[in-house]
Amino acid sequence: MENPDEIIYIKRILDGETNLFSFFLERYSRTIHGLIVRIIPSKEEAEELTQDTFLKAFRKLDTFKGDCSFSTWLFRIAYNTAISATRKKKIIFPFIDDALLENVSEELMETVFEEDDNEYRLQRLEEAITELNVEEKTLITLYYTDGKSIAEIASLLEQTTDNIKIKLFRVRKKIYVLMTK
Amino acid sequence: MNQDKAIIKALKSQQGPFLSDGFNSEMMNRIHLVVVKKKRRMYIGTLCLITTASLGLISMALYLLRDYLHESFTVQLPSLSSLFDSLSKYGFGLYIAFLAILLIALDHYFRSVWQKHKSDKFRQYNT
Repeated sequence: MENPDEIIYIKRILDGETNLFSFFLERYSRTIHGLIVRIIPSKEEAEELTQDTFLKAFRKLDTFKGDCSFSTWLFRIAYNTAISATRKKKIIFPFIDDALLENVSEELMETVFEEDDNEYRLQRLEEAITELNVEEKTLITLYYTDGKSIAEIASLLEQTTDNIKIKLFRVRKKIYVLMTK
Repeated sequence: MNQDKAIIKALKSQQGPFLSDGFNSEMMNRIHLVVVKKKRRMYIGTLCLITTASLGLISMALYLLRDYLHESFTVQLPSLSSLFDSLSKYGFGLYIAFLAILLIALDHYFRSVWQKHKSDKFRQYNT
């Protein structure tokens, strides 16, 4: 799970070679910004929060214990920073009844999500994604765009792997319901 | 679930706005500022600590000196003959000196062991 070169870089940064922090910026700034921009769509605000994330990471670098990968640790900071920013704003997300989600068939969902050349459906899908709440958007971004494993997402969001699996299934169903409403 | 091509495509098409071009260099400038501020804070903290300790020592010395000056300004030197009174005093002094040397030697030994352990660990990371 750990990246040995990252561990060495962290050690050297803590020993005073602060210039080496640019290595982490080069490696993660885009993906971190990509995650934040999904939660906070404003360009200026997302960039500011990306800066905050890296500043927090730099200041707290000595608290990184290596019990998870550095990227997971950094994504956790980014997620918490973005979540704190959303709490200041009151955003209302559409409510979907659980019974409606239960009725969605897995086969039907797979058929819809497998097909990626239907422009109309893709547009509906994009609209449905924008209606998801912050945690749901984060989940699908980490899983589908950033290619994180269920275990990594669980560690990042400080939840169990089973919980993440259940939530991912629910998000897929919710997207389907929002698409077809 | 990983094969949800439509979701992957929709998420990719939604990407952006992207980071501005100079983001990383601007970020490094902020990092340098944080380092400078931290160093300055540490310097001021150390300076305050030294000043407080020095002022405390000076005021304590002044207080003692003032009390001492009230009684007598002359300092009574101990008679030299008393130094040779008994050899047991030298024995005790030697005992204390031996203890001090022993502790310094132990400190040196444990430090070298710790340094060796630290460098071995670092070498393991590099390989």
